[in-house]
Amino acid sequence: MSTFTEIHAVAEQRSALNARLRSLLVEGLELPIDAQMIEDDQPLFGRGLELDSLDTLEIVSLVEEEFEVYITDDDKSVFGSINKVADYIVANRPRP
Amino acid sequence: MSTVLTAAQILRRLPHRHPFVMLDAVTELVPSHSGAALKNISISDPVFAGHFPGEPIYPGVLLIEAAGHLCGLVMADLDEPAAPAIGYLASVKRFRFVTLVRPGDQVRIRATAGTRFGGMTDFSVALTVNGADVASGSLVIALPNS
Repeated sequence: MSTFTEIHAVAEQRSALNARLRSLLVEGLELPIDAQMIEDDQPLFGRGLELDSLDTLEIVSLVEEEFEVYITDDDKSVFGSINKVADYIVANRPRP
Repeated sequence: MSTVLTAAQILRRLPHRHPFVMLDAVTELVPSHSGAALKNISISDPVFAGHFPGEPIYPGVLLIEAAGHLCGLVMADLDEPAAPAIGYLASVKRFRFVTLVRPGDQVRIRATAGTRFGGMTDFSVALTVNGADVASGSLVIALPNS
């Protein structure tokens, strides 16, 4: 069973990952918004952040460069939100 | 330098026709990965009638188009298809032109595939003349229905 300290540490790591992802998207895609304005469950495409398919390719590239995680064609649902991208990174990032 | 694809073989793999046949020969081709090609710049090219009268300079936008054709060949099937697939130029990013291209130049084009997702492939391309950088940047090519 995890202790409160361990759970707190995991939550902090996840919060930092989401924050890094928000910054990465805003900087990499040159979005005209403040990164902190993106909510963790906000849709990235359609009426969310209004990203398009070209942005998808850019996100794949950004995530690969930053986290050494490659998103494949089979995983298009990954782009649903910041939380979904973060889930994918946590599940697939190389272990130290 | 050996020729991997002649002009006639290029025509069988790409859908483009005159006046939009941009490559004279392919010298290297690793399908889905990379390629290199030659483009000879001739004063006979009708584009020089207007670009520019008395000062012929090959248009940068056509250098991008030529690089796009090489990207299309890298993405194409190695075997000659019955009907060449049309790849769409989806994005031109961070392109820089550092040297003018003039009649008499032979442009060497190199394209290397990078990230791919959802039928789109990001290519890094570099163009040189006599070893000197002419232009470089990245292109995204999209294949429909893939």
